[in-house]
This record gives sequence, C-alpha cells and structure tokens, in this order.
Amino acid sequence: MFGCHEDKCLIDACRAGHTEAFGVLVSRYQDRLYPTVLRLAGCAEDAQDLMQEVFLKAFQKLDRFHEESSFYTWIYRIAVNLTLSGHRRRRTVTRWRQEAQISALDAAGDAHESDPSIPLERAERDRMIQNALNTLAPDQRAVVVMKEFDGLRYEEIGTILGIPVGTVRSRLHRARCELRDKLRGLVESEMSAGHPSEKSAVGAWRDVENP
Amino acid sequence: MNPDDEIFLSAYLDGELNPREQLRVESLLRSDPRLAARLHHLASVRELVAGLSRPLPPHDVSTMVVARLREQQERRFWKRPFGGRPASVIAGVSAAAALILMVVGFALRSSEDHAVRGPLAARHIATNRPQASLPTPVEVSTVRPASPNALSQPRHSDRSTEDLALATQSEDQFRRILDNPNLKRIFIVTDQIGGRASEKVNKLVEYMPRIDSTFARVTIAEGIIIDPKHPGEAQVFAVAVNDQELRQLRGDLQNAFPDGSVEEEQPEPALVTQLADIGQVSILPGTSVPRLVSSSRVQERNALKADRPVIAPDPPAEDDVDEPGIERYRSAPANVAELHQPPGSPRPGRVADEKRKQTPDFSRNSVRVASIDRMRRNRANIVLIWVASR
Repeated sequence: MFGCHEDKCLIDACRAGHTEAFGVLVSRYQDRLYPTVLRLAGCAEDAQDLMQEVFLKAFQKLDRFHEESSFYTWIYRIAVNLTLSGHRRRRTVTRWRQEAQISALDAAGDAHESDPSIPLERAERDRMIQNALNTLAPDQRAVVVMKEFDGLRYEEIGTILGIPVGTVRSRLHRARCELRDKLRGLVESEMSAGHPSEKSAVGAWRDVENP
Repeated sequence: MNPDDEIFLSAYLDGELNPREQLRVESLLRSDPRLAARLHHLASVRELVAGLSRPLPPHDVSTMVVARLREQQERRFWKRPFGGRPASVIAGVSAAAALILMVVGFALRSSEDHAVRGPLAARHIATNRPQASLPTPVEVSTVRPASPNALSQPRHSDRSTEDLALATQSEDQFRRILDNPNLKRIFIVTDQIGGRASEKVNKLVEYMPRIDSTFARVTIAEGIIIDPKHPGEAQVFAVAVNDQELRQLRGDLQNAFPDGSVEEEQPEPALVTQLADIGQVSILPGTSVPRLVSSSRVQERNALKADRPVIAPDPPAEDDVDEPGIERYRSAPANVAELHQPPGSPRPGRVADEKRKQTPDFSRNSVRVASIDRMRRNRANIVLIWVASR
C-alpha cells in the first residue's frame, strides 16, 4: 500500500500526509510499548489515554525525527516524558500517592481481564508490585521501570530523562530501597525461593564469595 | 560502608561500575555480611519488577489514533484547508456545498430547457446568508423565472415563519443532497494573481459538450476569505459529468494547464457537512450533446420538481389540457404536432383524447423514469474545478 513496510517508508508516507501509514506504525509498536506505559501510568485507563497521546504527539513531531535512533526508541522517549510531564501537570505528589492505591487495583484487574492467560495468582502478585511502584515518586518510578522492566542501561536512562548517570544511579537505588521496604514479604519469599532468574552481579558476587 | 556507598550496590548489581569501583564493592561485600544481604534484597526487588506481566493493550490503539488524527486534520482543514493551500478553499468549500445543491437542481434541466430560455440566459443567485436564503433543488427547479435574471433578486426580505420553516426544510434537503456520494472530484487550479486561469476554465467548461451541459460558477469575494495571507478571489466551477465526460474533462484541464498547476483531490467528507457563507453563484448554459427529446426525461424532471420519489403521476386533469405547457407537449410526442398548429386551430377535445389514451402509459413511464433516475444517481459525477490565486 505504501511501497514497502520498513519504518522509514512508512514515516515518509506519514510525512506525505498518509494517515493510514501512521496507523501501521502504531499497530507495529503498540503491543511493545503498552506494558511500559501501563507500568509508568499505574492503571490501564491512564495507559490507554497516554498511548493515544504518545502516538499523536509522535505524529505531530514526526518532522523532528531524524532517524538518529530507531522509531521505537523515539516513541519510547516520548512516552516516558509525556507520562512524567502528565504527572507533574495533573497531580501533587500527596494526592497522587493517595490515588495510587486505587489505580493499582485497577491496573491489576485490567491486566488480568485484558489478558486472561495471566494466572490469578500472578495477577495478584503484579497488583502488589504495581501498587508499590505507584507509591514511588514519578521520576523514581520511571527509572525503575526503564531499568528493571525494560533493561535500559544507566546512560540510556540518563539520555531519555536528561539527567546525569550519577543521578540515575542514586535515584534507582533509593527507589529500590523503598520498594524493598514495601514489598518485604514478597522479597523474602523471592529470596527463599532462590528465583531462577537471579543472576548477573549477584551471581557474580556468589562466585566471588564461593570461588 | 556509609549510606552513600550503598548506592554503589545497585550499580554493582546492574554491572554499571568501572573495574576499580567493582573491586572496591566486592571487597566491602566480603567484609560485611549485612551488606551482602542488602545486595540480595535489592536483587530480589529487581527480579520482582522485571517479572511483571506484559499485558496487551485492551483496545487497538492504532484505530483510535488514526481516527483522532483524521478528526484533527478535518478541524485543521476548516482553519487552513488543503494543507496550506489558499484558505479561500474554505469559502470555496462552502461554495462547493452550495454548488452541489445548484448543480443537482439545475443539471437535471436538460439542454432542451436552454433552447426554451435562450442559450445565453444566465441566472444569478446572490446570497449573503445561504442558510436562510439558499434555494433547494426543488425550490430552484420549480421556480421558473419570469425573466432570465429573475433569480438574481435577493430573497431575504420579510421572511415569514413559513419562509423560515421552508428554509429549515431546505437545509435538511440540502444536507441530504450533500450526503450523496456524487461529489467525486475536486480539481484545484492554482493561478497567479492576475492570471487568466479562471477565464480558461470557464471557456473549457462552457464549450465541452456534455449531456448535462449546465454548469455553475461561484465567485468567492475577498470579504469571505478567512486567511488574510490569501486575500485573492477564487472561482469555483461545478459540472455534472458521467465517467466518460470526467475523463475528457481531466484531459482537457491537463492540456489547458500543462505546467502542472492542476491537482486532483478526493473531496473530504468534512467538505459537505456544514454550510457557510457563499459568494455569488451563477448558473450558466454550456454546450449540450445533441440528442433526442425523451418523454421519460421530462417525467423524471417533473417528479423531481414535485419533491418526491418518482412515482406514478396522476393523469392530467382535463382543465390542464386546455392550456398545455411546453413541457406537456414534450412529454407527449403526439402533441408536438399540436404545438406547430396555427393559433386558433381546434384542439382541446383532441388533446384530451390523446391524453386519455396515454393514461395507461404513465405507470409504465414512471417505472422507466425511476430506473433512469437511479441510473443517473449512480452514474453522475459532481465535479468542482476550483481556481484560486497563489
């Protein structure tokens, strides 16, 4: 329909005024982006609104996309910043923390309803974690989601948020400490279970500890 | 390790320390079991967040986004139409809406009408408030002006309640017409300021033979233009063409403007969803394709004039037969001879007999008329040629 299916072709078609081409791009990346937006936003309803806002913003700013990064990286950055600016604009931290408890319940329920393949036990666990995430300050939550959930490196996080790597490091550590306190029960059970995915630095430290 | 040093635990966990920092943290971990326990806690937190489910969006975002983009584009269209083309398009669009009305009404008048009222009889309709005074197809087609310029008289004075009701009804009818899919193309001719593109298009449209030869021309004055950056006038021509004529028109336009100043657009749905002020509308005769007069054609026209679906008309009353109109003679070929009889020839009784003989044919004719009407609706293309200054 638009000559080819590469992102670049579709973006060129968008710039030429073919709205449908942008629809193809949205379809391509919505499933990948939505979980991140959901974790950042805290509830499915806000996430849905944000998803639309993110893509609309991307369409408006398409002329500023110079393909220095992939299209997904670009819209990811828009999503994070839009979520944070939305929080700053809409809510005071106090009010936001009060709302977080409610929105977290919505998030878990929505996640389970939208994807019934997720077992109820897992959904409950998700609800608790999301609840804890929602109590974090938005900038801390963003760092945690980008690092833990999406596996970005500090430098990438710093670039997206426009902060030094040192700030990323301290912000992430404080956020983890807060989550540890709020999720103590889950953390203990996770440690006792010896979660199979526990690896990397801790695994390396075990090697150091037990050569 | 002091609290500031603990920050390095997270970075160690993430593999974000340089070799020197890493060695230092490992040294501290060996010497402080509590620190090692904290590291394991942080690692568990990391695994918990990383293990969160990744649900799919409950609704297709792309559909909603594309719909909203289209809404935005439509809204922008009314502010700055055709992506930055001269904003006189807004007035042109409004005029286009009015033109559809005019064309639908007038294009149904066949070329034989022109023979009756004279080939150069142009009728002008000047309106400032089209919603109040815009004629509907029915109104237009049923009004037979006493003189060629009769329709140029303003129709806005002393409007009674009945007039307003009629205007509302007319608006409804107008919207119904706009909802039909016959507006197929908009040709945009971009002219230089002071250029003669409008004149060329006028001639082209006037001399291009068409079955429905009537065309409309709207002059959009400066006062109606919204965008001050494009204060020039615009002219919009509207023609009703079949597919073959559309191809010819396209070719003629391309030949007339070989410099590529002609663009072809699909009309936006938003074009026909609202009314706005229009300029001065002129309905003009063009060049008709020679053809035989069809009785069903006149029946069709009469049915449309009566603002109703084509149904079997009542047989004519005998009183009517005494003073047959021109159309009646046309609708009954047998009566054409009567038309040419010298004045004073005895005819009423004979005409009445002829009419009675034809009475059974009305239902048959009406079926044919309905069929032709459907064909016309399906085959007619309303085309706008919009000439705007750069």
